[in-house]
Amino acid sequence: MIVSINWLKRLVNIEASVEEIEEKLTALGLEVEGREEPGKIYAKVMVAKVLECGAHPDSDHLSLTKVFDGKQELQVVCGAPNVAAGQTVAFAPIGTELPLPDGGVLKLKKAKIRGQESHGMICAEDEIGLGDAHEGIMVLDDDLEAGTPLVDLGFYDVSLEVNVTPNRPDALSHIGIARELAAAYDLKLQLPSPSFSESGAKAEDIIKLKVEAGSGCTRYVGRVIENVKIAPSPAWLQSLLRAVGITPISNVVDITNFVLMELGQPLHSFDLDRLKNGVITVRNAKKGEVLTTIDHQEHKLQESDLLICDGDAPACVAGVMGGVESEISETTTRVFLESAWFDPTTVRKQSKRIGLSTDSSYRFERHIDPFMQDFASRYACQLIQEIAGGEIRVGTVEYTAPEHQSVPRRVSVRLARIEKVVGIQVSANQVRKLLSGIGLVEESCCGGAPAANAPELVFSIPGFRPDLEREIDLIEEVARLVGYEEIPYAMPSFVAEINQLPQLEQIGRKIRYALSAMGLHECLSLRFSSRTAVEQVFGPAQDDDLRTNPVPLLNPLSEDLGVLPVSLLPTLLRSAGENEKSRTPSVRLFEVGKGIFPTEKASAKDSGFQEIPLVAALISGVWENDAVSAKPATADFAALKGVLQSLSRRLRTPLRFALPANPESFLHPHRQAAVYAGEVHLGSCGEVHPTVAESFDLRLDTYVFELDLQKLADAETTPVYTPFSRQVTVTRDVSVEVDEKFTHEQVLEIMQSIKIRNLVEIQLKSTYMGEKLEEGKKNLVYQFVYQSPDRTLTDDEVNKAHTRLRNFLAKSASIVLR
Amino acid sequence: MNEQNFTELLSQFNTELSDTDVSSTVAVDALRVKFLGRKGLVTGLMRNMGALSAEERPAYGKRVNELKQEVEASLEAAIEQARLAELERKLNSGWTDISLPGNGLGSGSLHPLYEIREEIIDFFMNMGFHVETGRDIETDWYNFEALNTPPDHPSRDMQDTFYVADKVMLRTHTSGTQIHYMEDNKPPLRMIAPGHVYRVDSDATHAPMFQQVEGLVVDKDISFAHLKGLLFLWAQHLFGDKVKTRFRPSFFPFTEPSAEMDISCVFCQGKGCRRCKNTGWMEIGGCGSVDPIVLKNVNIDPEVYTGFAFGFGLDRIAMLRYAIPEIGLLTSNDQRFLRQF
Repeated sequence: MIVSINWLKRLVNIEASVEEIEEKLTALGLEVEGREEPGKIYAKVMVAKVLECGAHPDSDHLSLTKVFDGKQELQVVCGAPNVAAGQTVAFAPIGTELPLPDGGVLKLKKAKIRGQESHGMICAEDEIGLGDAHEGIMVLDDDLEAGTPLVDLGFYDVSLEVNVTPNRPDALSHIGIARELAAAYDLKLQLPSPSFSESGAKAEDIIKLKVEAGSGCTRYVGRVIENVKIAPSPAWLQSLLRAVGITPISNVVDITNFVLMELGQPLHSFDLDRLKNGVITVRNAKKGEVLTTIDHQEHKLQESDLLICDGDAPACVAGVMGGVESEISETTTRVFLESAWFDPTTVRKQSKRIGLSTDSSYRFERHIDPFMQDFASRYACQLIQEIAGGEIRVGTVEYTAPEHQSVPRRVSVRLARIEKVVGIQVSANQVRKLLSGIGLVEESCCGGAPAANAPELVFSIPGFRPDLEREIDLIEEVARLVGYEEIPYAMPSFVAEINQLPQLEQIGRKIRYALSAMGLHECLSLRFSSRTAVEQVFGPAQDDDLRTNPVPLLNPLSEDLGVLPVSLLPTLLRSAGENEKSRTPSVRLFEVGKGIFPTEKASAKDSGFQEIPLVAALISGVWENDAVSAKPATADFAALKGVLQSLSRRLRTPLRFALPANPESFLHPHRQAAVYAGEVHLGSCGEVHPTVAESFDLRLDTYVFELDLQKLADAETTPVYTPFSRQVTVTRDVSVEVDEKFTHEQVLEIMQSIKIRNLVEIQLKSTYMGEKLEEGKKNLVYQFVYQSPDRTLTDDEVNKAHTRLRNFLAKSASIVLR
Repeated sequence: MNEQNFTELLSQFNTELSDTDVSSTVAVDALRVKFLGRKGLVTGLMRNMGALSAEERPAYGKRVNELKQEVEASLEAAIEQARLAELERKLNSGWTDISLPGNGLGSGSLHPLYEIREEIIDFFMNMGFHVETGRDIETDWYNFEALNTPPDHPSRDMQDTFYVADKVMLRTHTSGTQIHYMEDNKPPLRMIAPGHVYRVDSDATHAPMFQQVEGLVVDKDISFAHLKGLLFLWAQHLFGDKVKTRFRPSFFPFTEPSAEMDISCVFCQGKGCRRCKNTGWMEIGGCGSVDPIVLKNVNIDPEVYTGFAFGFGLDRIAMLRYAIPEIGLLTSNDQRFLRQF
């Protein structure tokens, strides 16, 4: 809602500065979000007196004047025909910058005009943004003091942009805002009191009104005005409308807009000569009906739409916009003026459906004052009579539905309840003063005058406050009007309770700390992805694979953000691609997030969607960044597995890596593993398949894992202490040669298949593949650790045990001892 | 064994000592073993004692001891010298350029938004609030209707909604978690619900997905004054002792009275600057007393219980604290951004 300060001052005699008004409105819950001061650029223009005025010696159309600016007398050359001695004028001194119509700026300098010095400019209206007149200079009231800036005299309006919350339809009008200020400053609200003369025929003899019951129109007031002269509105009206962002059109239309902005009651004026059927019908639309509105848009109507019709022909989408057919034009002389109350939901639905929101529909949607229709109609008639010279015909055509609100609602409030909810004590008299200030009227509770110290007060609620329905609504008004700053800061006293971070939050934190300490960066991705990205990872949609069927948004921002995937990987891979573009030597990302997938909808309260908490990570490029003594290691499967194993230690969840029974198609077929905790499958890890990598523009070999966070959390274990031997350990190394594809795990299995006394640990020390070996072979060096639980082992004992082991290994067909 | 033998042995020791590298503890120790070890030359003298008569023994023993003490003293001095020499060498060798980068993994980072989220969770948990994370996909009931926002009501315009099915949406606020929590628990209630929320919106200050923290307190005798007190404390915790708070009347369908909470501008301390549009204040979140309708919707008697609720955008708080100019950076996953935190 744009509010004009000048307009407010017509309604309440407020002297506070604009800044003060802004603060006050914000404190009242009418947040001021912006301010327009078109006069600011004319700050230097001031009042001046023309002391002398004579002809310019070298020109027949210029005058040579002496002007007093409050401090000194200045010689000024003036070209206006109407300049005269004794006038009070608007004067722009040297140094003033005036905007030009072409967008440029005129900076006034001391000038010589035909040989005569000129120290400034006496201004016409249009030169200083006060109107269109350019015929001559602007002549001001004589009682204005020379030297006073025009800006300070209210010549320029200031507009405020007020954010009106949906519960306050009353504040969508100047009268509503003025009422709040009047209450806050204890001033009187100056309401208009419409009066005009009626003449000629009865309105009902000129036009009939037929309102279909249950249509959504519960009140309709129509008046007929004839012999109207359509012309531009007077300057004061135009400037007020401009200040609130409305372009003046012509007097009648401007007046309806003026009443709308002042009272909050939308009006519509029809050209009565173009209503051909003599009957105004208010009814729901029929299927297939079409109406072209005044913005020249054609709308196909639906049965739920509410129409104002000329006979049976649609003439206006009720509450939204009129039809082009019956629009007021320059040639209009007869006007039918509509002031009605339409059902908010009906208007909202049709406004949304046809995609047209207007000043009118915005107010109808928010519930206008049900008692305002006739008042607004009369106010408009008065103005039309004054400004456009119309003759108001006698009476109205009107309709009131039985369900239309006929008496003000009554709401009571208990003082004790105010204290309970707000935490402040207020007296009955305070409540009376506060609420009557905003137009509520106290009613006697049970006959007789209300007691000064009554515990409960009853108020009748004016029609402009449809939001005040319940006791809590009045309590809020009391709190608001007392001022939230007056409410003390208090601390609640809480009962101690057992309290624990939720399981997923706990594990999420551990993972975040662990992975960030391993050099990974924590991500926060938009939950949306593109179907393409999902397809790039998981392939085309397949009925039996949830991951290929991401949940589509019905109204996405863009195709790129069109679906909700069940995996974090599509977004993480895309982010890796984006990061590679910055030429980073490595990408290391992880995210704790969730995936979304559909399930059977069980009840009305069940969304029919499930969320699966996930953790995913991605590494590529330089891994161990050792610039000092070695060349940097690159991310590979071992690096990825190292991350997972460190994580496993941190979470105390032993993880198991196995060849996947069903390999993931988005991972390299030979460089991937299924990750288990015990027998529970958690997810997979491995190198991103080269084809997938290419589709995400990844040049670096990229390794990823994604695990089910809930299952991971459920697998957390509590360590149990096992006694350990404090005896000295003895180690022996064994070097074995095996086929390249014979795994470490298989070698270990053989080594562990024989029971050797005091052998406590087998550790892989190194692996070698290369020139020194036959092709297809690899060399593994293991360290065997011997230790007795209770004494120091002798060399002999260890040698004996180790020989037994070597002999056993020598017999294995898969292993060659070195 | 006569005096001459003793003298010779001593001079032998002295000669060998002078030949020894007294900058090496190993060399000095070898000399010690040669003279004072179990099979050492001086130690050997004691063994000759047995061959002497009882009268000769005390004088002989005394002489051996004198010799031993003399040797020991020299060795001790030598070994001390050697230790010092070795220490000197240790300290003067292997100069290290400490300006070289450390090796191993480059340091990773925690996301700034999750940092703030954790701080806020911990603040409220320490006061006994339960933490609920809720769900991202909600039904119309939880996201709107139970929160006193009927269909076709203009208040729905405040939140543009992403739909995934009829009456099923990505939640537009975390407030729905209030309803879930009140359905499952009986007062007194203290809960916070951090989580992602979604709105059809995208520009420099609005992202289609952002984070909120919802809070709810329901008990007997909870008033708006308690809301002010608790949130003031919270603001001080997050923005420092000097921060001021301001509560302005506002509107949310599920709270009444409703308020917007402002904090004094963190950039200019309330003096007024470009960042706070010269107002000295910054909007930080919405709050209010729980509307009786909401309590009724979950079968809590509003005559007996009252409460308050609040909701804050974490993105905005993170942007304020770390001077992040664009909300989109938070979800950019750009390492150049992430590694700054």
